[in-house]
Amino acid sequence: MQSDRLIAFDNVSKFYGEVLGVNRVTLSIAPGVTSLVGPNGAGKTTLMNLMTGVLHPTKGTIRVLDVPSSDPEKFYRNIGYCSQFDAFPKGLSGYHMIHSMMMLHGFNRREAEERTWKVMERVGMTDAAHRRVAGYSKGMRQRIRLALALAHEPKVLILDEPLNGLDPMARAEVIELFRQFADSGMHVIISSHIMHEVDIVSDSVIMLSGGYVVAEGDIQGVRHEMEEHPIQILIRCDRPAVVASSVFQQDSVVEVRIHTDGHGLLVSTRNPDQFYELLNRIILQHRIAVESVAPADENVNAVYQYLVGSNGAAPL
Amino acid sequence: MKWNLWVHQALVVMRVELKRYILARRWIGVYLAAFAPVVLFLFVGIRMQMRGTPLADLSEMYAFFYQTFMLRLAIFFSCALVFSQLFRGEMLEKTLHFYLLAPVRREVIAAGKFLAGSVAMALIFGVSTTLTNLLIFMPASSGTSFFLEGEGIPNLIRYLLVTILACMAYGGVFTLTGLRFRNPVIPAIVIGLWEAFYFVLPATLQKFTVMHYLQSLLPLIIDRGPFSIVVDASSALFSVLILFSLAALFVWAAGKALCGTEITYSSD
Repeated sequence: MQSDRLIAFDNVSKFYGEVLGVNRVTLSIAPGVTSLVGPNGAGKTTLMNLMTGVLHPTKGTIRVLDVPSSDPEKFYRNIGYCSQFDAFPKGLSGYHMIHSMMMLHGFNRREAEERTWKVMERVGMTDAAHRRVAGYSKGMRQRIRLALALAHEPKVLILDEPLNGLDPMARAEVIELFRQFADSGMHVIISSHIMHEVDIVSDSVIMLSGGYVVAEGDIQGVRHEMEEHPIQILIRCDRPAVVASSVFQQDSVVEVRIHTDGHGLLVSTRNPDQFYELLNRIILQHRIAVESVAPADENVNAVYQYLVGSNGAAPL
Repeated sequence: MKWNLWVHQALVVMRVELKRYILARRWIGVYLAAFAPVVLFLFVGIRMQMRGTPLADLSEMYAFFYQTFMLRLAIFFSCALVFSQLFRGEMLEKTLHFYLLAPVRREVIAAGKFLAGSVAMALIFGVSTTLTNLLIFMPASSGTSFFLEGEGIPNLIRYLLVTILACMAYGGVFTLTGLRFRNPVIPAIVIGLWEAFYFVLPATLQKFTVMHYLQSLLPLIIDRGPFSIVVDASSALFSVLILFSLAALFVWAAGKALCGTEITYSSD
């Protein structure tokens, strides 16, 4: 893919004094939804701040769509950053803040007004547009941050924990919005420590632990790279004990557990393709009624557990 | 070069800053420093009129007031308060990312913020200078003719020019110190002492003070006591150029300092 369509990190390290932020990160992020996953302190926000030029790398280079942050006029036209910074300039209303930003982007007064109202409508903030931001609730501040990131129609949208503080309905709407952006060819980079959220929306994941990238790629791809780890497959059927006794004829099956309800079993195998062939034969041979067969751990949480020995949840 | 865009962006930053700060509570000290003398002069002017104080004495009184209180204290420390907070205040309030995520060169952000500070300070202290000047001379018996036919208006224009240039020059200096020092009080005190007692410095060093060039533009110089070293005033044009250049240089340096600034609010 051409470099003007990629977000490229080349051997990037960031240290805060002697404290490691991220280390030796080399990445090429293509358009689509990419999730940065890891527990608090893994380096997600540091990576986003580096990507958006609010931090400078101690070592290495970063280019977003082939533009370095040292060229702010081009760089920030391409980027919309919905950060976790929760403070806003005092004394400004939501409308005035976004309108001013549009003027800084070089739009004339009329265009700036149009864009401001359009994005305010999109995030459902038209009624509160002329209220001071200081008086907004947490959810409203989250939406105004999103509006600020979207108003100039960037090619790269970077969102730090964008689903925090949103109710389930709003989450579903925002996730749908991300998919629309990604489908239109944009980069949507999101961070989260809530694994199942990114599982639903992401095209690819970047997993971080202790400032290092421990895995990257599409979720299934990452999973298949780890051949030393068995994959778990959940089978719901009428006679799990028969299936369990039959699957052990295959060397790659390392563990079988029958579900306590007696209607399912969990099989761990190092060779899923071979296992599925065997399972077909067993089903036909013993006339087993199968309700479902599904991988139980092809999700970000399971992969993260394998990679870093933690479930990735934020420490309490 | 994209001068049109840069000017447009600097003016947008200036307007935003003026809207945010012009009536902010943090500026109460500035308004007090600027307008308390106006209230005082209401009474002083009437008292001088009752005593029949001659214009020459009033001119000396005003020069003393302006050069000691107005320049060295009110304008200087108000500039220190306002300009050193242009960026430091944003770091403390954790709002600097608003500008740093905009498609604007950081030198332009520094210029826009400096312009906002300069316009506000020049306006506040310009009004204060005009009012105090009118209040001390107008009640005098020949006050009206002093302004209409005499030196009143040219002198007032000089005082106003010095006020504006002082705001710009000190503004430039404190815009930079606000970015370079975590505690801008220390440089403000050091620079304040350097500027306040510039007249005891050797002649060469006096040329490295803002006050020397400001004094060169004033209509009347007060006696600074037995320890002062008298230096010839610089020409008016040269002084104006030096003060403008100084402000521009410091704002440019502030812009460069801002280029290396990262948003790490927690460590600020």
